[in-house]
Amino acid sequence: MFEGKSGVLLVGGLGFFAFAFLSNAVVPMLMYRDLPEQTTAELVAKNSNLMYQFEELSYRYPEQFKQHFGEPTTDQCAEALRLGRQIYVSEGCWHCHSQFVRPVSREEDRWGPVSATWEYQNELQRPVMFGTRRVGPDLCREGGRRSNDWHAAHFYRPKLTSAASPMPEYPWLFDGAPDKPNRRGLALITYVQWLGSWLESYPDYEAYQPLAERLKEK
Amino acid sequence: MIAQQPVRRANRLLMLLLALAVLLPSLYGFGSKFVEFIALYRGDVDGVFAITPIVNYLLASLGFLCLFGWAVWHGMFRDIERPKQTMLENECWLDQREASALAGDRESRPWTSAAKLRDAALEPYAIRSRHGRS
Amino acid sequence: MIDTQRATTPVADDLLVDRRLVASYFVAALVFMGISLLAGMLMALQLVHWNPLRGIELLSPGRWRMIHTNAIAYGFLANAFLGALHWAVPRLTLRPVLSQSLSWFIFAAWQFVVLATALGIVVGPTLQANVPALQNLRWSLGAQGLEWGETPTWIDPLALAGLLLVAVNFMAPIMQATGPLYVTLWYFLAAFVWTFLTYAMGNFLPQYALAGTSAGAVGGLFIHDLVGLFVTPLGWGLMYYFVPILLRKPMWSHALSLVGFWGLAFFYPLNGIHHFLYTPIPMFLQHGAIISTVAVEMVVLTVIINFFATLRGSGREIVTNLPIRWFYTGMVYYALTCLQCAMQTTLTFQALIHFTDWVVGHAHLVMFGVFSMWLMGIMTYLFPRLWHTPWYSPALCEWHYWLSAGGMLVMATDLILGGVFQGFYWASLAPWEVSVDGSQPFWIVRVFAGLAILGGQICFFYNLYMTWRESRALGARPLEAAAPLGTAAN
Repeated sequence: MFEGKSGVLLVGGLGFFAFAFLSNAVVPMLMYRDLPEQTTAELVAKNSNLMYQFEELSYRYPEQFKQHFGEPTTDQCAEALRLGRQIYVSEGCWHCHSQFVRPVSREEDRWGPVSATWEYQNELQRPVMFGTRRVGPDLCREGGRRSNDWHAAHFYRPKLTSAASPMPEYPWLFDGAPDKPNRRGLALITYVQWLGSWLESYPDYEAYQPLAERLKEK
Repeated sequence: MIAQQPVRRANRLLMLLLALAVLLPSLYGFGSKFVEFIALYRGDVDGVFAITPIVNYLLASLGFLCLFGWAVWHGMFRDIERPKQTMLENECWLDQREASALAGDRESRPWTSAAKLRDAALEPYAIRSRHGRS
Repeated sequence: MIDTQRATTPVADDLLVDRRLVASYFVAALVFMGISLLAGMLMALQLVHWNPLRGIELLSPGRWRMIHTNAIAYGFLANAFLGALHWAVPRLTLRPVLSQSLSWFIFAAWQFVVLATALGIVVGPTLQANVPALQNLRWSLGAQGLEWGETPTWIDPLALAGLLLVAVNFMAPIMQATGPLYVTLWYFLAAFVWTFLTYAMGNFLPQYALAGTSAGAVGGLFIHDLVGLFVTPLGWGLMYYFVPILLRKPMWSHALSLVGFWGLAFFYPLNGIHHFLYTPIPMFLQHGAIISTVAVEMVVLTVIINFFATLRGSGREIVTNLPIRWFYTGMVYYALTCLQCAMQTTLTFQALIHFTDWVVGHAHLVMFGVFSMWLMGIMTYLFPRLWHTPWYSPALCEWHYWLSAGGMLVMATDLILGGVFQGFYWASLAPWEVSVDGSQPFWIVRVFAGLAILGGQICFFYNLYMTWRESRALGARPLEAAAPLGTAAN
């Protein structure tokens, strides 16, 4: 058995793989089976923070908004969220920005509450966007922290808002100018403003104060 | 080179030493971390959960070890070093076959001679970096 | 028993190993290696503000970063592995693969899969945004949001079918072999099963069946199993084959190699969640993943001991035998990267280095420093045998080795060190820009290390091209009918 092929195929190939799958994947599945997976429509329906930002987009960029999304309704917002996530994935944003706050390395001070499981039980976390590297900051508490036009300028040319930023430019999310986001641009801004908008502590600003300023106050 | 060598006493001793060198520190490391771990989670509500996977893995590997012991008991692994010899013999045979099949071809390749072809086929070759090609 | 095996082996040498197929796989692999390196270079230049091609949608560094990883995993590693398997499996079993035409079909299909992945990632989002008919699709033409599985969702089933065909094609000769199997074949057999299962699990479950934290657990398993159950068993299997035949002596201990195999089979699949420590995935599962990771390092130790004990007495081969040098350099890097892994997987280290360049350094050391180096060694050995022509320039082969090995060492050290710095910047709560500015020196060094690696591969490509030209000049006869030797000069 062990020297032949059956042992390798059945014990090593299937058996151990199944054992690992049971103990590492099926266990969390069973643990969270009572947490329902929310659809995008459900996410939007309860979220006034997000709707505020979405409406703000329609005032700030009326022509573009009218053309691409019409009225700032919840249906349109859900569609923008889905499209925004698609762009977040396909442009590779998630390779340089994570989406979870860890209970270590003073991340609570920098970003806010530690991430919890219920935050991820929704359609927009399929597959989950935990991320893999932080070249740029974590984004799961980004919503509401900055304004829509800040994000527009940032996507158009990151150095306009953060001089040291090595982030690539995304002019194809705009019709030629930072104040003219196209459908993809509007959707991505909506998506980024959604992140963390479900929290009570929203918006949560960085507690950091530069040392020089702290010394001056004293 | 190909013939089966008797396992010498020195080899056994070396193997035993190496096994100890790997096993002792790992057992010590694992044991002390495990005790530390239990101490850390004692009294915690999730304490039972914390050691579940470890016990789980220990049991599963124990089961595998029993299966393995059973296999050894039933006569497997008696000639465990044989396949590594067979593999080399086959490889030599394939190289020889390749060489003899092509022996008539050497005129078209001025840099081979029949003798070299045979030697090299018996002795698989890499590029010898210091020698270069002529 | 052995003689009956040999008696049933097809007599003609060219029916056993399809040399043209092996060479084609290797050349395809090298093309994707080139693409991957250029893509990596684009991202590296972007990070140090030197990217000359900014603001071009189809050259977006974000998209090309995915090309960088996917081209190395599915373009280079998978192709080169398949090529090496088409050499090793028939020679180990003395039987050809199931079907030559199936082999060529798989070759073509796999190139299609990899090219479609690349096109999907780069062009997919642009197409979807600009073609009205595609705008309202609920699924994306572009990348899938799964690390190492960015292959667009519509290609996944094709890739899976390809993997199934690969398994069937190679299983046929292995299943016919009788008697106790050599360790290489154990690794290969298991790898075919694991690769198929891993690919199916990772690409479908988090996309269609699961969301949130449990999908994260599956994603972790996928990332890790892809390295541990596809790349690692194939890589070590090939080492157990090529090292003995190049050293002209058997492995030190076949028994110990089986310990390595079963240890890997048991502990490696349990490691996945260590990619997502301190996430909302239940803490006890994280503990389990950490413990099994440390167990894997023990297993790795036995494998390393076995290979270095085999080398004992033939140490000079490191100097004179270039493929052996590639292999053993890769093994030293493997030992280093596993040591690094044993450290970084602990919660203590994770707190500091997770999300930093430490992990990026680790990934480069594994994918290039170990497995690509092994495959480069295999190619250095096999191309002269495949084309029956010695290398055009052994000196260029040396340059290839030194630039790759040296560049890799510099890049890994640099990124690992940079990761520690980033971790401390973040924990200090300094503004984010401080960590970005502080990373610049490391990123600049990385660009030059990358250039060295790229230079090494260019030496190899040129050398290969010239060797191919010589092989054409040497004989118009079919490749199979030519002399088998790499060097006969000495």
